[in-house]
Amino acid sequence: MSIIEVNHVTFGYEENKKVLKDVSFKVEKGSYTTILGHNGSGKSTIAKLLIGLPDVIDEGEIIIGGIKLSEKTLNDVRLQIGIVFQNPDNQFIGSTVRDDIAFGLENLCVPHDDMEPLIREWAGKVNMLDFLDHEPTKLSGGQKQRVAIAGIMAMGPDIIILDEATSMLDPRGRKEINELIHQLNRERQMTILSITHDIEEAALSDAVILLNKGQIVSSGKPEEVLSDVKMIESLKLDVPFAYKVSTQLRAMHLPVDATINNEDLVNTLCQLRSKM
Amino acid sequence: MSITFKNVDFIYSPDTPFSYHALKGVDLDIPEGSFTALIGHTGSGKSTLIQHINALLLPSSGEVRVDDFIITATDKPSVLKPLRQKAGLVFQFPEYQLFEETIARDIMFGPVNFGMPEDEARAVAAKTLEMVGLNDTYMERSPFEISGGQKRRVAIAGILAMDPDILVLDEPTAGLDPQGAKEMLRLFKSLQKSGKTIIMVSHDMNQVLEYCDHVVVMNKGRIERNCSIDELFKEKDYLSSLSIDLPVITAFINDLNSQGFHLDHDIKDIETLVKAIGGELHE
Repeated sequence: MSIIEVNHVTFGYEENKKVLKDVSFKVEKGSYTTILGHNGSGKSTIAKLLIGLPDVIDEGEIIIGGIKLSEKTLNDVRLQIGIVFQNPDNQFIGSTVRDDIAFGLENLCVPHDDMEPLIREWAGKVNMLDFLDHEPTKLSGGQKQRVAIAGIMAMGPDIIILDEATSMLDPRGRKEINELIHQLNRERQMTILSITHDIEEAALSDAVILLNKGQIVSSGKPEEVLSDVKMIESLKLDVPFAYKVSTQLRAMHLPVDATINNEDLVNTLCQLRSKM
Repeated sequence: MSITFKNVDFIYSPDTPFSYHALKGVDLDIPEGSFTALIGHTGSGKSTLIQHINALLLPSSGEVRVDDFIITATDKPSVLKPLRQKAGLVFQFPEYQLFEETIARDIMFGPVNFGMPEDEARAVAAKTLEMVGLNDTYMERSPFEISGGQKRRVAIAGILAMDPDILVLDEPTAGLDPQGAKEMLRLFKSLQKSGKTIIMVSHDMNQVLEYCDHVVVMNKGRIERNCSIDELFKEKDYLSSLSIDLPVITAFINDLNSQGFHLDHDIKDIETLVKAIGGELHE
């Protein structure tokens, strides 16, 4: 079942300069989908349109959870989607972690007494319970992104969009966020739409959408999409490590299947070795 | 151009409630002509350290030497221009610092400020623009109407235009697509080969393995490692304690070796790896 449907969307920030051209795709409920593309391919514009920023598209339609996005339905749609942007410093609103998580709830007119349990629940789930009274400036990038995710989750959305949400983080922050997102996807069946350059992240997702110059050039399961070497390289992206190694081993006549998964390749090679 | 830190401490806002001890007893030699990676978590002191290299920050105690320039708490070179010309610093997201009306003028700003005649500076701007992969049709365009990746290139061209001997780069490829990042790193590598010393802050261990030859690890204001790349990536447990992932190829070799393979841990490229695996399986 699709939770996001983008049908023939064309959009430009300026007249005669279309950033997205006849873009159509679907995202399955509960899936982890990645959108890959080089700088300027239109990836972030898709993320913004999905949350209705801006709320007018030139052509086509966007349907989220069965609701067609329009000026009238904007609030209903936004209740279903949370977005985490690239720069953790640009999305902190509250003066403390508690205030920040509360911000979305206040906008939803959640009664004050009901807020605190929700804030504590989600601060706890993202491991920030001890920081509720801390100022954002004292937090690391990874901690700030985790607070952003807690604020989103407290509002109970069905979908989280990550717009290169880990690209400005250090390795520890990146790991924290990746683990948290995978956990939300696995345990809560949250639909994740991740906009990224990271081919190894895409290799581990359920579905991949490839974007080039505002158009979708390929989409499907990662093992199909990411093994199209010519296409991947023409889009200034990298072919997954395991795919490069496995295809070169096949060229040496070793009985190895082409794969994009490092773990699978290690297992295959170890089995081959044990048979020697 | 040698760079030496001798017992350097740096404290932000000393003697105030906001005082923060960012560098603690830093002793460091950065080999001339090396491509040194500076790694460590946010808050480990990397940015504070690199700002000492061209005297944007003065040590609270200790001494920094960059070639013949000596920088201490009380003494900085009387004339900073020659030092800043020799050591070019590219901050994170340098594209935010573009300000001129045209790309040419933005790149020329540094050289002209250092006394180069306009005509000469324009020629230098054209040359450095080409070095960063943009042709001369960009010279008269506004730096605000090009893509983020192109802005980054223009900002780096602005530093290269001053022809520094030392190039210090704070996460120069953050946010660039893989191809853009690769082109940028190849440029830095070629600059190293032409004799320059490159210092690069990076969180990407695949880049560090492929392009750097030396590495400095910072943690909580201290230098914890100052070694070759090969030595660092042998320390799996230490890196894991810092939540730093091994390069993909090194982790892959470790996984195979833990299950009976005997592959060389220092292999850096896929072709050599494939040959080595093929060699073991064809034995």
